[in-house]
Amino acid sequence: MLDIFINTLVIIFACIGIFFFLVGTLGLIRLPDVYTRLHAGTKCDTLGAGSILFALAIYERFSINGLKMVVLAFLVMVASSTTGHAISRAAYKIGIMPWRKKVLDVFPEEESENVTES
Amino acid sequence: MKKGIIIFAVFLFWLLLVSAMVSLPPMGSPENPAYSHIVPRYLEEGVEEAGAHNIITGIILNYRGYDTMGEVTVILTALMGVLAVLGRENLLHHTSKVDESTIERSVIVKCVVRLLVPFIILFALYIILHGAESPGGGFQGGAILGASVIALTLTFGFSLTVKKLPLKYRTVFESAGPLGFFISGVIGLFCGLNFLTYIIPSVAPAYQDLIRHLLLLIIEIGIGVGGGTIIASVFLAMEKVGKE
Repeated sequence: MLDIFINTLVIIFACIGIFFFLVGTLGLIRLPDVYTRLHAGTKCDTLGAGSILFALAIYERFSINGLKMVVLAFLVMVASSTTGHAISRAAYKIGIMPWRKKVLDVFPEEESENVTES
Repeated sequence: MKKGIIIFAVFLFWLLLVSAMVSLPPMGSPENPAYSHIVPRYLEEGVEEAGAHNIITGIILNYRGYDTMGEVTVILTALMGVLAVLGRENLLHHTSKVDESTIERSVIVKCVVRLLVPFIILFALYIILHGAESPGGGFQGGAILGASVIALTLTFGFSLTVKKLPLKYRTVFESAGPLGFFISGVIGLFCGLNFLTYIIPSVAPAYQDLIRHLLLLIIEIGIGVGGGTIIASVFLAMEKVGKE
């Protein structure tokens, strides 16, 4: 009974990890600028790798190997989020503006610019 | 006429190369001499003959010791080439972009690097010392050691790293790779054996394994420390910016 419960937990956490890896990779390809891509990319490491390592730790029943997984998850989370912070801060300091949604106004009412910010 | 002769000679050479290609054993076939003679020997007797539980370490340090010694020398020569072109850094004349920038450094990055770098160095030392037992070894550990220095330099600036790793120590550590091979190899010479012989018959049989392990360890530490310091030195030489 306990085995079934633990295995269910492992599968749930592993699925969460796989989902975030998928979403992060998709976001890295599809999102428009540095900040949003970083947002997607760091999700892979923090939530994706974190959940999968946590699932492995549960699978090992928090023995010595399982505790190693927890330490590994902590290090990955700290290092990945710090890298994301450093890159986004550097991008902001050298003057990359965050992306804004632009609407293409096909029938302008006046002779203003075709592209307006909304 | 001359062109015709050249084309004919090239054609003959091409024929020679193609005939050599055809007579090569098929790629990836399990009947290749490489798979049928060398690999079983390495896998079956490698651990006993080479004295390392990690067969790769046994191969690169024992069966192919001369080759690895050459590789280590190549890395040192690469550093010499970089230094010949870029020159050593000097705190009196040089600074770096990190030191010069007016942007205040991020507290988060500083704090995390300060927290993580000791663990990175510890991990590098573990990989260097455990090279004979588990995956890893001198080259890999040295790369991690160099990466820790790079992280430190990018966060805290050039002057701190140069002060913590002064030039007089670095010049010694850079040559640690060939030096380790030299020390381990010459011990064999003094006992009347070939260069880089790890099994010394005059030692009591009970201690032979220990001696061989120790000699391999000297080489591993040499490769690791040397490789790490060389990476750090190349990075510092590339990072420096002239002071005006």
